Amino acid sequence: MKRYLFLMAFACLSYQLLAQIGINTESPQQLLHVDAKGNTSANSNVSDDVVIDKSGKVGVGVLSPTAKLHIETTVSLPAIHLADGSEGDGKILGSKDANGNMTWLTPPTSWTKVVNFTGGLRNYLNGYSALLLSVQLPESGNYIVMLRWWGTANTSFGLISAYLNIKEGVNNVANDAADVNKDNIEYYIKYPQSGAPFSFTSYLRGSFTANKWLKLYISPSTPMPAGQYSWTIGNTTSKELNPTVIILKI
Amino acid sequence: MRIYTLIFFISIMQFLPAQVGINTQNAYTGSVLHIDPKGNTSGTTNSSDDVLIDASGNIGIGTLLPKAKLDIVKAGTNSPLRIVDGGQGTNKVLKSDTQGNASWMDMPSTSAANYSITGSVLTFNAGTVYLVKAIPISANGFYQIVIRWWGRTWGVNGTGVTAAVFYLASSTGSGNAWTADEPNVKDSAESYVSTNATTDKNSYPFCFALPLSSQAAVETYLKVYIKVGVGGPWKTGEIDAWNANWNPSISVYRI
Repeated sequence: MKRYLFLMAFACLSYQLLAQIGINTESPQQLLHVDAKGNTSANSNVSDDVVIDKSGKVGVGVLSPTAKLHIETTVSLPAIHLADGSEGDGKILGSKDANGNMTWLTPPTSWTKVVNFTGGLRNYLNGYSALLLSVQLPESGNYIVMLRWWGTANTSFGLISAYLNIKEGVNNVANDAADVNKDNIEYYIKYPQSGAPFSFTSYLRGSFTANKWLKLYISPSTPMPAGQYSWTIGNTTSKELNPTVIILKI
Repeated sequence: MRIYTLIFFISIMQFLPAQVGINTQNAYTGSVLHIDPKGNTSGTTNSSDDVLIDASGNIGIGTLLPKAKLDIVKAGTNSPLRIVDGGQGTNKVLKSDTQGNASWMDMPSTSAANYSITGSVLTFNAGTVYLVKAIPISANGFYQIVIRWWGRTWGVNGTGVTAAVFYLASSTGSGNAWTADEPNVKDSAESYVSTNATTDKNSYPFCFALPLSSQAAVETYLKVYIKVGVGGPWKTGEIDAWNANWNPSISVYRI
């Protein structure tokens, strides 16, 4: 009985201090050491090994993990394959909640589109809102519309203005009832001579949803009343002698 | 004594043969370790609860055919993988250091906002610096602003022009504190405007769009100051203090 107790005590002590379990290896180097191919010698041929060390760190392809989960691999074999239904080309690994639960997320991207108004003569009558441009947007995000105007007007009032606004719409139809205004300005230009070119640059911004339409409207104003003169573009086919709109997604 | 030796041997090392099954008597073909917690796996059926190490050392969790060093196939409502390191949070992503250590960081993002300079009549006398707007900064980053001016001047110089310098300064407070903020001006530009040469309020409105740029830190302010240098004074709000089209506005983008 005495011997038996001694044996038990020794066994427990031994387990606590020395127990190392090897699978497919006679020389486990950590608490649990799986050598899948049975070919590990010292620190070579470890790419197939899985270990759990005495701190509970898991090593995959490495015998001495330096993180809770430490994976060593080469480009040809991915470190992690994670299939939860959210996977897709170009997605990045992120958290979907405050608790660090992971899923695949769409990374932010930028985008630009440059539109030159070289499509022929257009007149925009003052007092009336006209659709200059509609673009279906590829992604949700913050958009900047840079307007580089170049045109003429047929008034000698000395001062002209136009309202410019961007709206989010569900189609490319002008003045659609579902359009939602995003940003608007009025821009004044000193303009002493009818028919003379004038140019200016301004900026509009808005948050838009993927697949919606960004619509840019112009409504020439001063001098009022409505219908007495026009802003004109498309006198030439030159890119420089016409307006340009740059749409940026930031 | 033989038992003694045997226990000693087991206690220092346990050598187990290839193909260890836990809770299964049929470890999956070719696997080295196969744990079937529910004990219900047959072939590849009912493997969603299984953990396996295959003959190449690849780990499958919820799959018996890992296609990567660690292959996790989600089953049920639990997330397939969770990392709690104190930095976890919604919409964070993993970033690497030079060693491949992963930690959470905020998903890169942008922002865009407009600030209308409305609500009162403002007078900007020549030679004096005024605070136009203190923009609260909610995230670290690089900021681009565009001052979209809309206003009038009460005076021009002899050639019919007026001009003002705009300053963009970073600051910890929102108040009008030009002396303190002047050393922290990050960008500045002067805008010249040609307008009609009257000295009364019948002068034309004028407009321009002026971009300025600065880096800024969270919980600080980017402050736009104006100093009219030629002509003036400039005024805003006196045609309609509340119409956003008929007053200046500032677009702010974090890129």
